[in-house]
Parts: sequence; structure tokens; C-alpha cells
Amino acid sequence: MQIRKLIDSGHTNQILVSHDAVPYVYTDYATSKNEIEGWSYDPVDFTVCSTILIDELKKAGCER
Amino acid sequence: MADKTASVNHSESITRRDYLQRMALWGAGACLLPTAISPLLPKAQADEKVLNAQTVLGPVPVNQLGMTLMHEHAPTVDWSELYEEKPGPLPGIQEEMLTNVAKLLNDFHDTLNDKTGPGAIVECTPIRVGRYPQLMKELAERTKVHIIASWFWCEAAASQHRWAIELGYAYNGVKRFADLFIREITEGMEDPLGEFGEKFTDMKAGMIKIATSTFLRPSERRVHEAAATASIETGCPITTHTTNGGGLEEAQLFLQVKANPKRSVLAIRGIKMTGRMIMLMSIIASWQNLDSMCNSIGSGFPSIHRKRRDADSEVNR
Repeated sequence: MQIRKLIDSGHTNQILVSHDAVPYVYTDYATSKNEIEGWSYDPVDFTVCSTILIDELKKAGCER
Repeated sequence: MADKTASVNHSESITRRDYLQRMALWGAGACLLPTAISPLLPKAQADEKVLNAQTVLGPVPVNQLGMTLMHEHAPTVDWSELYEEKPGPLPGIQEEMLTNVAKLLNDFHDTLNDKTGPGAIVECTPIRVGRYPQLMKELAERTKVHIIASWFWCEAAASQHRWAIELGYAYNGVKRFADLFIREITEGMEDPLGEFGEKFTDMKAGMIKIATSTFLRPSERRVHEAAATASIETGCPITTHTTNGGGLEEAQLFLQVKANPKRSVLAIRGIKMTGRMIMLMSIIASWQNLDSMCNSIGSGFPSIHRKRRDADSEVNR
């Protein structure tokens, strides 16, 4: 796990994480359609860092 | 113009506690990893001066942000203006957007506890690429999660706003870019409902976001220099997005122009977990150790690790 490698290398307090998630994207951006239907909704999960990542870090041996 | 409360002596040594507290300046994140590495997070000291993060609803003490996701987009991204097309219409879908995205953010809030909540996001949508300050404000009013907006323009391997290209190449272009950064930070973000620059909102940006595409291209270099100037002037932190290289050059440039590395975040794409792309952001408290960071993680981070000659080869293909 890459984060674990950073931690093991002494960079623990230089790590920030995020999802780069986008719920609504206008997909007809390169056309002149300009209709509501061009909006695409993806119910992205903003909880991965606060849930799954924590569990994965614990599995990788990162202790509290 | 500069926020005196956010000023930092570049030469002073930094303790872990100072480091964490100061990285939270202007919304750069009150927390790093929330619980797994929490022993590294210091307990708040009641007698310490509490600094504010600039959210779209106004300043919030950093110790009230909770876990902060450093690079998100909510609610929209829309590249239309980059292609000289009208942005996607909001009337008729705006209410649905706000309802749905508020729920997604509240789901994040619900995973946090008293120590790690309420939660915050740094909203990194570029100017005129679906960044609607008023929409973000309305979203913030519907969720318990704080929203920190940013200012952003980059080349990032996409077509670009004509006004931004012209501004960058104009006489004194770097300064004019910096002035625009500073205006958004100190007075309010540009209002996209109209022609570029016609009017501004009173909602302030709390972060400067810039990016590279492959290596640090000339136009990107100008924006980076402007961002550094604005950061030095205002104390506002910088976050970057390295699309497919350029991280090392970013670090070198920031060092060269004496931007404060304690307030700079290099974003590195590339960790896949459970089918989702996670962005790892590395705060470089000491830019000099960037090479050692890259070496320690091997080739897993091409966005920062790629050498310029590789990028050049790619461009030439």
C-alpha cells in the first residue's frame, strides 16, 4: 500500500487524502445542445476516506 | 490586505502540533487522516489561538472543521466554457442537485464522530468550469459539512478559456493573474452568471488551486508564479493537481519564488481502492524531501514521479 510506504518512510504528517469526486457533470460541454438532459448524476461516495481507507490502513498495520 | 492572523515566519522551526494547526489555515484541513493516524494529531490546547478557515458561509475556526477532504467537487463540473459553449442550464435541475449532493455530503458527515466531525471539503472546481459560488453557498446551507472554495486555472491538457490565455500572456500577466487570485481571496469570487469579470460575489475563496498537465508548461508556470505571489500576499494556502507530471517542477518553482511550503499541497493522482480512485495529497513541509518521498513510494505515483524527458517524449509522439 502506497500510503503505508509513505508512513514507513517518515512522511506521516505530510499525507492528506481526498476523493476528487464529482456528483454532477455536464456531459454535452463540447456541443451547443445546452439542455438539462446533458447533466449526468453520479452518486459518488464521499465516505471512502473516512471508512474504507481507515479499515485498509488498519489492515496494513497502521495502528492508532 | 494580508491576513495577519495567518502570517507564518518562513524561517521558524515547526513542531508537529504547529504543523498540523497551520496546515488547517484557511481550510487547508483541520485533520489529516481521521482516525487511523490520529495519535499523530495533537489534542487541542484551550489556550492556543484558533485560526479561521474561509468557508463559503464565512470564516470557521479550524478546530471546528473536523476531517477535511482536500480535493472534491460539489455540486458540479461543466467544461462548456472551455469549448466556448454556453454552460449547462441550472434552472430545472438545481433543486435536485442541491438535494442529492447535500445528502452525499451528509453521508460523509454521518461517518464522523464528535472528535472527527462535522467534516469539511475543499471544493476545487475551476473558475468558469462549473464553479458557482451561489450554488455552493446554498449547498453549504443544506449540509453539516463545511465547504471551502478555491480559485483555479490551469492548462491541464484541456482547451482553455480565451480570457485566461490572453491574461497570462499579456504584459504584466503574472501580476494581473495574481491580482485576480487576491481579489477572489480577499473580496469575493467571480460570478459566472454573466461575461467573465463583469461582477464578483462576496463569497471568498479559501484556497488557491493550480495544476500541471505534463511538465510545467509556460502558461502553467505563469499561473504558478501568480499563485505563489497571491499566497505570499494573503497567507492563503495553495493546492495543486498534477495531472501527469510536473510535481517536482512545482516544488522547485515554489522554493525559488519563496512561497511557503508549509502552506502548499501537491496533489498526486493514483491510488485505486475498491475500484475507486483516491487522490493522495502530500503536504511538502520540506520540499527538499520530495525526492525521498518519490523514492520511498517507487513508481506508483507517475503524476509526480515522471521525469520531464518522459513528458517531452509523450508530447512529441
